Amino acid sequence: MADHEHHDDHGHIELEYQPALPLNNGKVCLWLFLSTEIMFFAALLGTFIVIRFGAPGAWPTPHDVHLVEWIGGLNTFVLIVSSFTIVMALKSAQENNASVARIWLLVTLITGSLFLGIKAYEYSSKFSHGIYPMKSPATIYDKPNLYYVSGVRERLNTIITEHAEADGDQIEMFGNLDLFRQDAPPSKEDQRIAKLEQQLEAIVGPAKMDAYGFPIYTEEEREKIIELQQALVSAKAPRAWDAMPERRKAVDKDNTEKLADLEEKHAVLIMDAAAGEEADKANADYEKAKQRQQRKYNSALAAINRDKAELRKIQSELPGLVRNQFHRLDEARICMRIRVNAVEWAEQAVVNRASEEEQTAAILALAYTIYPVHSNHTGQQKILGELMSLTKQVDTEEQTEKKFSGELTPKQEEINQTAGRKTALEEEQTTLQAKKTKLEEELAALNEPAESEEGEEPKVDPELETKKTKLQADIEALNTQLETVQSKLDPVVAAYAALEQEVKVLTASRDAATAKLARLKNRRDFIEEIFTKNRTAEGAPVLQFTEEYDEGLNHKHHFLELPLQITNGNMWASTYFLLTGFHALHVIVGLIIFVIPLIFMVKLDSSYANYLENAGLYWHFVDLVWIFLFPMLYLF
Amino acid sequence: MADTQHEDHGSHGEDHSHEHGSTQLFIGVFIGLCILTALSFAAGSSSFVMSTPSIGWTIMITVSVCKALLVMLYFMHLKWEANWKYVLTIPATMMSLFLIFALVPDIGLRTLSYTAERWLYAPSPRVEAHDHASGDHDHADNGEHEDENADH
Repeated sequence: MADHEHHDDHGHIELEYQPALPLNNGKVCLWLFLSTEIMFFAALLGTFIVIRFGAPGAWPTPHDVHLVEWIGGLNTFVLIVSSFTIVMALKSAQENNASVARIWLLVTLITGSLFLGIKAYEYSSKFSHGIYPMKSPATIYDKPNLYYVSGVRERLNTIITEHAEADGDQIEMFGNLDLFRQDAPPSKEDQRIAKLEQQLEAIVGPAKMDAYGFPIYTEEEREKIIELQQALVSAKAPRAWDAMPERRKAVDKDNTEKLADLEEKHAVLIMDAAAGEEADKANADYEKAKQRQQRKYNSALAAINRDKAELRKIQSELPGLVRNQFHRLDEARICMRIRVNAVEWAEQAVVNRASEEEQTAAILALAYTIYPVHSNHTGQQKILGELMSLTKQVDTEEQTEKKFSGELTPKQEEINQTAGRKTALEEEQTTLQAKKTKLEEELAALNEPAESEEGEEPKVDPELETKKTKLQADIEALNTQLETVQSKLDPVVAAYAALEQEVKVLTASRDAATAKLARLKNRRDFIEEIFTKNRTAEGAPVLQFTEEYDEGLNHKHHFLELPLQITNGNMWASTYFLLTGFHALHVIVGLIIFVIPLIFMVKLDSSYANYLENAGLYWHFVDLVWIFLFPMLYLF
Repeated sequence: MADTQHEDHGSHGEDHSHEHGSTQLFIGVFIGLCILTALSFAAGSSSFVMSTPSIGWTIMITVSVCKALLVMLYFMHLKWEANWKYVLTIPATMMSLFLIFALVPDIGLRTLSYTAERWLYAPSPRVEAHDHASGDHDHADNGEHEDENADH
């Protein structure tokens, strides 16, 4: 850096100012900027280190959060390549190799974009599993406690309610269609509509319900229902439109009549009224009445317009609702099943006041069915253990049920027999009682005429007396018979009552066993379904509890988006996205810096080498940051 | 120094391209970086090394520092720059380290002063003994901590 003496025109020596730093301005500025960037990233990285290591043992493993180490390593390699190529671009520019420099710069741009593409892929894999930088839309719970369980329940209920509301809307809209078309003038269309409704009822009427109250249809039935309902919508809507002018006519007619009515009344009043106050009052009343009628007319018109708007809305929305109804049904059914077999199962374990360990394990098991990650070891073990014990429990319950059924059948036979005997005896009793009553009536009839005559000597008719005595004797005999029958009946009735009680108890026990068996089987099938990878030749499920997280309920049904339980998941997500996000922003800025000379077709010769040097310095800094980010985020 | 242009000082154009690294050197540095990345990756993924996490972390930080030095010295040409590079790098390094140390008492050791109620809502540590991240489980924490697993 020798000083060159410059001689101006007059031969005087011009002094050169020497810079304090042997750098050009651009480079100085860039290094100043880089030092601020160092401070920026040191702050972010420093806090990340402190936060992460201040969370003893409670940091998600890469597997928990869909972090794939080798992809991060690939990104590191891509960035190193791009660092190398920008250095080569600088070198070529310094050696005045403009075209070669351009090629190197282009390669840097491409590798930088590749880095961003891989990063976008990584981000998308996290978003698709519900891991976001902010608490909402992320649904990550830090602890496996009842808040988590209720979070899952709430999400399920949201889906079920949405679907129920849509169903309600569908029903309401169909109802409105029928309501609107009431005023339509009759037409042949009505017969066609009636026929369609008949066909629909033929399928829907006899439909069976499942355990949750949802109807069960086959595929063909579903398609037919949708077809018929769509046809009904397109048939009923025009009829509803036909009704509108009719209604309008009716409203107009009513209005005219009312107005005429008012006028008549007013005319009468005016005739009778004296001039002055009374007339004025009559006029004022008439005006008010007219206004009231006008308002009523307006609101009637408004009602018609509202209904027209509703009808338009129905026409645009109802076909969609009809088309999706079974999709909704299936989703709601899935949610109900999960609620019963997973959420309530966990809640039961907690409510049953098992030890805290058991409670947490049950909740972790729920978390595992939703989002099976290997670090949820407790949950996995709980599920495995549960499956084993479920088999045993199912067997035991089946035995119990069989036992109760076995005891129940003979008892029922017995009770039937007893019932038969009881009925026979009771019939006998009734017949005897009837006979007795008849005889008693006869006796009473014979006794009567003797009492009706008063003040006369009772005539004693010997024939009558014999009859009476005979009747008395018969009645006595019948009484004895009744007593015998009664004495036979009493024990039978008692036995019957006792048997009834026994049967009741046995039936209750057997029903309880059946219900418990159903509940256990549902749970077992539910879990097996989630973790079955294949089936054997005999159809037995081959269960797989892998290290992979692409399983579980959230993966099986993408619409579910149930909350996850990742210890410190929210903290992890926010630090991860913050660090990599800011880094990615810097990468984008770097790419813009690279793209400018390429777009403007600048000749990258030695006069442009400064730009490339500064761009390179910036890019190397970005690479430096990533060199530290990669192990800290992916490997620690 | 805005008035005078010193492009020849600034660019060190033709003089320096031969004093600076040759393509060979840069390729060598590139390969070194790749090897170090692979080393760091291997250390991080190896269950043997990570069975004692501190060793693994030390290896990885060292590797990262070496990679950073390579990039800074050669790619950023700091090796061939004047002494101003020390004015830049040394204070920056000191500040970064001091920042981390300064945060340790309040944030790094925050769990030491957790009350029982805070532990109730704090994320609970995982407990698998074979999981490397639970190796930094702080045994010095208080007895009020809910210990739902007996592994420790």
